[in-house]
Amino acid sequence: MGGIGQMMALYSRLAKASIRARMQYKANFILTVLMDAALFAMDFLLIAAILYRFDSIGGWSVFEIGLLYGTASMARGVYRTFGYELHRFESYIAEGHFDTLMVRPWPTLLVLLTRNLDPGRLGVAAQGGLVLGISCHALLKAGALSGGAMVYIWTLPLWGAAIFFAISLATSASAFWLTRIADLQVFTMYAPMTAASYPLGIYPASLRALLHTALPVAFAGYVPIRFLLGKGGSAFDLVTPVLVAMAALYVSYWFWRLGESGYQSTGS
Amino acid sequence: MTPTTLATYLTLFRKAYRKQLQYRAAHMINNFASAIFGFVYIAIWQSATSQGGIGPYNAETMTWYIACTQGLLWITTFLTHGLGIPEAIRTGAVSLEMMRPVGFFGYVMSREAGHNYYNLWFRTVPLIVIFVATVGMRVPAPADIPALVIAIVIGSYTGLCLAYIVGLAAFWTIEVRWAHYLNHTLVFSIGGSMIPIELLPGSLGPLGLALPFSSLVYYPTRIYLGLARFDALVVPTVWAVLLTVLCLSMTRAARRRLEVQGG
Repeated sequence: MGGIGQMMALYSRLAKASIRARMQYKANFILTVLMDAALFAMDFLLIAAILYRFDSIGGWSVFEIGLLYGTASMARGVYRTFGYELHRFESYIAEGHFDTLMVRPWPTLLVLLTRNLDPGRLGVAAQGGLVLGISCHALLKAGALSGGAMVYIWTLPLWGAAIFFAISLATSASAFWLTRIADLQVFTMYAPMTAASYPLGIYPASLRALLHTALPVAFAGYVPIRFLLGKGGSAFDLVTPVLVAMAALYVSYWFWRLGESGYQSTGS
Repeated sequence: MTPTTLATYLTLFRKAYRKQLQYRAAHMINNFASAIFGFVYIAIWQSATSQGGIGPYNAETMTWYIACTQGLLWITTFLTHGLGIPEAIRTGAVSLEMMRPVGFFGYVMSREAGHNYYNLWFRTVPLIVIFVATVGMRVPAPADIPALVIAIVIGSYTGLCLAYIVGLAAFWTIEVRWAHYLNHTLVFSIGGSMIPIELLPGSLGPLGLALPFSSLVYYPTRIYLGLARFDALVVPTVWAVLLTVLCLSMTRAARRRLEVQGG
């Protein structure tokens, strides 16, 4: 088995090949990216439309929510681009294709991830970046955010993507036991990723608790941003995204290896 | 329509229903996850209206509004991608489907209607039960129920027509994912599924009220809340007729476009 450097080189080569394949139908690609981005932008426009009529949501203004929404969307776009195959892992187990990953002399996860990338999802990240940029600009001008805080906020999507990736990895790993996980994904991925786009303080206590523990999307944006905007918390909150991302990745990869070690093919 | 054709459509309807029935356990888990989306939007509205609402929309009515639209989305919007037409075109099965002695429009629509009927009992009703048990929902006035039922039927039919048009687009372009997204985006934005249409800024409000996307969840929800009655059926009825004409003429054009390859 090769070292990390060799693995990275392999990853980038395979990833490039996958992107080239995706770009074969350019017009369709562009239209799909635009519509996908528009669909996600809807979530934010909804908030903007509500705040056009009302003062605030849970004490957060439209630009403050823009920080949450922007970081969550960017994280989501990055995760969906690189985690494309992981997200559709169910088919590997259900249809028995997982065997083809095991015959390569590389970790199955690496082979899986390079099978396909979906750069189209970067449209979601781009519109998230646009909302984040506009919101940062407005809050900087109003003096609600310092330059240093803004730089920090732009690093959050990276940790957010890592947290989403970790949750996805654990969800996919459960396919080793459950086989079908598409419905579980709605629960562990789609709903939390949407919930992370808004101030978590407005949710019922049980939902809030879930999003701070088992599905820790609160740390993808809400916890540190709340502190930066002076809405509570402590300076320690600023390191939580990194700590939670690392811990979540560690636990979910362990879970993946556990599932993999007990994997038995369906045979023929 | 002859009795034989009608019987064929009914068989297709029943078969689609039975096929879905096999997945009901998984769908029940999914319903709890779907309810989270409802709780998120309800929390947003409860928080926004905590200082007072606008017109008939306050914290309580908006809770009912979102709970109702979340339930209705499953029988109007969350349908099979392009009603399965793009997939049939990709596999070539569409040539056989178009050759059948029943109309293609009726064939596809009755199949999806069976799917929708399943969704009504295993998606919409369970979601409504979850919302009734957690956030509470208004019981509609008995006098409003006839208009409500008609609005839901028209809304469901309109949703099918829109998805059919998305599916037919695959005759002219290879990928219709973008058209599918466009349809959803319009339902979610100016269709009133997340925000009452008249609260939208500027001319988006009047525009949304006049377009067919409002038929799907907005007008039925208005009736459910007791804010409208048969008057809320005018726009949906006009659109249902117009969309039927459009679907049929597009089907004729698609038939001419169809090229059967291979042998």
